[in-house]
Amino acid sequence: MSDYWKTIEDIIRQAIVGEEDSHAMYVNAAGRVQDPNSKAMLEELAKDELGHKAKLEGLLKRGLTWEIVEGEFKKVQDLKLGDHFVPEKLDEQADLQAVLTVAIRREKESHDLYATMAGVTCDETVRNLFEFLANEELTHKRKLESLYEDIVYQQF
Amino acid sequence: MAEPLYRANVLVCGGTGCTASGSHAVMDAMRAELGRRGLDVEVRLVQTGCRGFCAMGPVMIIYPEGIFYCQVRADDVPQIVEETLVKGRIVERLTYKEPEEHKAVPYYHQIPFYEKQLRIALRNCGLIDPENIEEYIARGGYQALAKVLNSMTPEDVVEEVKASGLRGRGGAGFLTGLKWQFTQKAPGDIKYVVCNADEGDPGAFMDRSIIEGDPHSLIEGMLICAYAVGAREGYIYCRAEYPLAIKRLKIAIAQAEEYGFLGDNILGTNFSFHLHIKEGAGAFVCGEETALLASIEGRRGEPRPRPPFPAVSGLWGKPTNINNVKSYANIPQIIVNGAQWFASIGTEKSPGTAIFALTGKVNNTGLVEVPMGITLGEIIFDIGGGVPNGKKFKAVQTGGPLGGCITAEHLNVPVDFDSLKEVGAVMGSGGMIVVDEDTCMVEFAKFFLTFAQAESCGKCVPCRVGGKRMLEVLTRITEGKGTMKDIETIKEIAEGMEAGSLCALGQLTPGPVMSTLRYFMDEYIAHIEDKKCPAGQCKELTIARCLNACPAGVDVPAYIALTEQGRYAEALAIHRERNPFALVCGRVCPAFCESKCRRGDIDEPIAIRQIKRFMADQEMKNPWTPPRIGTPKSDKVAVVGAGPAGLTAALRLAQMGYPVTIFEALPVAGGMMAVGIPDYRLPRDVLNIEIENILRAGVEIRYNQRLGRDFTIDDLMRQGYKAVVLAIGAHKSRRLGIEGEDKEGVMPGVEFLREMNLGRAPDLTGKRVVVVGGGNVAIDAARSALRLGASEVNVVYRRTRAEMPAYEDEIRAAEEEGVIFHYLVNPVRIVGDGKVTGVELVHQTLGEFDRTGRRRPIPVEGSEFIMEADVVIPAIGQQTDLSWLKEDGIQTNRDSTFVVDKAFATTRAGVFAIGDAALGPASVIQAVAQGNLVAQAVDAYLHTGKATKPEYNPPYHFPELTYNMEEYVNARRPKMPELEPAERRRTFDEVELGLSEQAAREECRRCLRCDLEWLEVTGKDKAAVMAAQQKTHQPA
Repeated sequence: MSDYWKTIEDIIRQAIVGEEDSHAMYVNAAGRVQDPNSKAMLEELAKDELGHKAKLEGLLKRGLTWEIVEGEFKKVQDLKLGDHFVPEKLDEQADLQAVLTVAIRREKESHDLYATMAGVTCDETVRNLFEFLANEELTHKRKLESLYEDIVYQQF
Repeated sequence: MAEPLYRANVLVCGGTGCTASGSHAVMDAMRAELGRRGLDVEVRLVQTGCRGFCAMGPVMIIYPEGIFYCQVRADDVPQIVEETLVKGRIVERLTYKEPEEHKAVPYYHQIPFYEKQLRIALRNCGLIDPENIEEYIARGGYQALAKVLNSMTPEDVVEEVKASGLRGRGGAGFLTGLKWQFTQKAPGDIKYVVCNADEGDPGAFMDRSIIEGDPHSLIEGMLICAYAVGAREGYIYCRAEYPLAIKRLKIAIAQAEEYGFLGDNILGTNFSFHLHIKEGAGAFVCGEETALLASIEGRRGEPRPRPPFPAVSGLWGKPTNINNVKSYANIPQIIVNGAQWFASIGTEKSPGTAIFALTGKVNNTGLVEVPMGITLGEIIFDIGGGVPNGKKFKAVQTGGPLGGCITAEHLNVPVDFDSLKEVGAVMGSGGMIVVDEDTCMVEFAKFFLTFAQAESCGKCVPCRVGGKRMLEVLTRITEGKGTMKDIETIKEIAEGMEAGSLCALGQLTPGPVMSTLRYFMDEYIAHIEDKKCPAGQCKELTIARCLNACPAGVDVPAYIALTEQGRYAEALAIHRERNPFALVCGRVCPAFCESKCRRGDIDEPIAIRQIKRFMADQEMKNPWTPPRIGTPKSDKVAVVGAGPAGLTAALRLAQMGYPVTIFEALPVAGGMMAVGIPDYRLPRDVLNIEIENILRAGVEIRYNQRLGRDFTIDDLMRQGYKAVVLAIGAHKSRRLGIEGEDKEGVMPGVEFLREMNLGRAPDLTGKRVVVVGGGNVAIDAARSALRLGASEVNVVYRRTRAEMPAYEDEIRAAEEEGVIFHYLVNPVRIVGDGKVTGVELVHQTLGEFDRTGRRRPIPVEGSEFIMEADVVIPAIGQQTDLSWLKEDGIQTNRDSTFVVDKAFATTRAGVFAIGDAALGPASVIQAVAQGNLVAQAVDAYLHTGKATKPEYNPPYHFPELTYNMEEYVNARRPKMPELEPAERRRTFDEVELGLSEQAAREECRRCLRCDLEWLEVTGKDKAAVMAAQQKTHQPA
C-alpha cells in the first residue's frame, strides 16, 4: 500500500480513537448520573459512538472506497444550535438537558476539527475524506440538536 | 395589414380560474372603456391563457411596466384606464398585498408567488394571445421545428431528447427520449403520435392551462416528435369537459395549417404531419394509455395487458408514441436551447421543471412551474403562501386520486420523481392538494376512493369489487362503526388490487388510503376506538364542531342556548358536568371551540369564551355543592397536586363516593391557575370560588406537602391509599444553557411568576427587562414585569410572530401595553460583571422545515449585538420536577413527562398521572379533560384491579331553538370590553371587564345550533341519544 493511502488510513484510525474516547466518556457518565432518562440517553450515546466507530472501521475494511473520498455523501444543514452552549457537568444530578449540551458540544468540536483539517488540506482526496468525517459529526450533532429543540425549546 | 404599434398592452387572464371569477366581464368593460375614450388605437387589449395566480383572479398585467392588478372587477376598469393608462399612476388598492405586512407589490416580477418559479412549459401562458399564432411565433415559436427539419436527422432529435434527460410528465416518469427511440426503431411505415390530454384528476388543471394558454407549444412538440419517430398523423385526446381548450386547439391547428406548420411538405420539406383532436367522454381510465388508444379507435375505453407496448403496437396496431401535454410542451425549448441547458435545470435524475396545480388549503392557489429539486415546503409556503387563517398545515396530496399524502415531517423532501416515491407519494401528473388541521384524513382518503372506485372500468375483478368493498369499510369507519380488524381488511384488499389489476387505476386506487394509514393511523384509531373524528368533519361522529374540539367535550351549544334564554344556572350546571372551572375558563381558556366554530366559516366565530364568562359570572354568588353520583366507598384515593387536573380528578372521584385527599406542595391550591397565571387575567378570588366548590364535594387538601420531601408514594400506599393520581404539573423552568445564566438578575420564568403570585414579587421599578421565549409563560412574565414597574420590557424570540406558541390575544394585549417584541433573535450570552447588564443576541434566519412544519432558525454569522438589561427572564420551556423520583418503578419520558397508557396508568400499579406531568405544558381545559377521565380509570381499577381506557360521557342536551336564526345573519361578534392599555400596565386589576347581559345574549343568537342540525341530518332521536349516553355514564 502506498504512503498516500497509509496517510488516509491514519486519519480514519485517529477518528476511530476519537469515537472510542467519546464512548468511554458516555459509559463513565452513565454510571454516575441518577436521572433514569439521562442514564438511558448516555447509554444510547455510547452505543451510537460504537456505531460511528464501526462505520469508520467498515471504511478501512472495504479498502477505502472512492465513493467516500470523492465526496458522495448527503450534506446536512448546520443548525448551530449548540454553538453557545456552556457544557454542564455530568455529575449525579445531571438531567437530560445537561447530557445533551455536553454531547452537542462534543460533536461540534469533532466537526470543527475535521472541517478545519479539510480547510487546510490541499490534496483533494484527503480533503474530501475530512469533509466526509466533518459531515458525519454534523449529522450526529443535528440529531441531538433536533432532540434538544423538542425537549427544551417547547416555547421557543 | 401590419399591426399598429401600441404604447401599452393590457393582458387580461382568460384562464379557467380567472374566467370563473369574472375575467370576461373585465375584458368586456375594458374593451368598451378603451373604445369610449378612443384609446383602442394605442392600447392593445389581449385575453391570455392562465397566468397561474388563480387565487388572485381575475388578474390583469399592463405592459410595458408590468403592473400587476388582481381581483379586478368590471367596475374597476374606468379607474384603471384613467389612472394607469392615461395618467401613468398605479391604482394601489388593486395591487397585490404582501400577506404579513400588507405592503403593496405593484409589479409582476416582484410578486413572491412568481419569484421561485421557472417557466419552461408555461413560458408563454398568460403572456400571449393563445388564439393568435403570430404571437407564438414572435416569442420564438416554431423555431425548434425549423431547426429539426433543416439541421437535424430524426436520430439526432431522439438523441437530443435523450440527452436532456426529460422524463414523462404524465406521472410515470419514463425517459421520453428512450420512448421515442422505441417508436422510431419499431418496424412499420405507419406510425402515430398521440397526446394524452385526458387530465382527470380532481383539482388538476395543468394540461388544460397549457392548451388554453399556449396550444402551439403542444403542437410544435408533437410535430418534432412525429419527425423523430417517423409519424405522419397524430391525435390529441382531450376530454370534452375542456371546451375552451378544445376551441383553442382547433383554432391553433387551423392557423398552423394555414402557416404551413401542419399538413403536407411542412416548411417546404418532405415531412408531412396531420393532427386531429379526439374528444374523450370523461372516463378517468382513459388516462391509461392503452385505454386511451382503445377510445380513439372507437372502442370501449379499457386497458389491455402490456407488452406489447404502444411503441410497438399502439393505435390500430401501429407503433405509437404517447406523451403527456407537459412533456410535449417542453420539447421546443429543449431543441432551441439544447439538451445540456435542460439537463442543467432541476436534479441529476429528474432534470427540468415540474408543473403543479396547487389547490386546497393554501393561500396562493394556482398553477406553478418550479425546477425539480425544490422542496415541498418551498412550494407550499414560499410560493403557495402557506395555509390560510392561521391554521396548521397537515398534509399535501400529490398524484391525485391515485397518489399519496405527504406530511409536515417531509417538507424538506425535494420534489422529483424518486424522492417523492421514497416517502410513499408519487409525482403524478401534477395535482397538489394541501390540507390543514381541519381535514379528516379518513374522510380525505374516502373522498379519493369514492372517485377512483367509481371510475373503474370493471374489466379486472379486484379493481371492480375491491374498490367498492374498501369504500364500504371506510364508510363504516367514518360512521363510528368500524373495528380494528377493518384496518387489516383494508390492507388485504389493497394487496389484492395491486396484484390483480391490469392497469394503474386498479393498482393505485388504494394509494390514498394506504398513505393515510401510514401517516395518520391515530386518526383511524380515534374513529374506531373513541368514536371520534378529531378534525370534526365526519358528520355521524360530530354533534357540533365546538364540542368536538373541546378536550373535555363541554356541551357548548347547550349552554349557549340556555344562556340565550337567560337560564344561567341550568347552563352552568351543564357546563360543570364536564368542566367545573367555568369562571376560570371563561377567562383563560384558549377556546379550541372557537377555532372550529362553523359560524367562523361565514364571518367570525361565536364568542364562546366571553359567553361562558358571562354565564358563570351570573352565578358567582351562588355556592355550588357538586352532586354525589355514586354510593359512598371505602377505598381512599390520593391526588398529588391541586392544579386543574388534580382538582378535577379529586372532584369526580369525590362525586363517585371516594374519600379523596389532595397533597399540595404549595401553600395555595390551583397549581398554575394560582401561581402561573397573573391576577390581571385570572383574579385569585374568582379562582378560589371554584376551588371552594370542589372542597364542598368532600375533597380534602393538605398544603405544603411536597412529594419527595414530606412524603413518598410508598408512604401513601402504606397509609392505605389504594390509588395515587400524580398531577404535579411542570413547575420548573428550562435553562438557557448559555454563559452568564448564574448572574444576579436572571429569574427563570415559571419561578418568577410563582414568587410574584405568592406575594414575593421582585421590585422591578425602573429596570430594563428582557424575557426570552414565545409561550404563554413568556407573555405573562413580560406583562407582569411591566406592572411591577419595569421601565422597558423586551421579549426576544428566535422564530417569527406567526410561530409564537402564546395565545394570539395575549400577544396582542402585550403589544398594546407596550411590551416590545424582537423576532428572529436568539441569546448567546448574558453579560455583566456579577450582575446582569445585558444580553448578547444573534439574528436568525429561517432555514429548513422541522418536523412540525415550522422553519428552523439558523444564526446569521457576525450579526451579534447587545441588548441592555437589568433583568433577564428565560421562559423557553418548562418541565416536571422529578428530583423526588428514585426507585419508585415509575418511568418517565425524555421530556420529563410520565410514561402513561391509555388509562393514564403509570408503570407502577395503582399510580396514575395526568395534566402537565403527563401531557407536557398544556391548558386548563386539557388538564380538566384528563381529570374527568382519570377518575373513571381509577374507579375501574379499584373495582377490577385493571387499568382500562376510560370514557367520560355525560349526556348532551339539545335544548330547543327559541330564536329566529335568520334575524342574526348580519349580527357581528362583540368586542370584549377591556381596561385601557395605559391604565392596565400599572395595575394587576382584571383587564377584561366582561360582556353586558344584552351583548352576551345577543351573541348567543349568532350560534348556528349545529347540534340540532346533527339530529336532523343523521335522523337521530334526541331522547334515544341522551338515554344511550346516560347508560354509558354510570359510575362502576
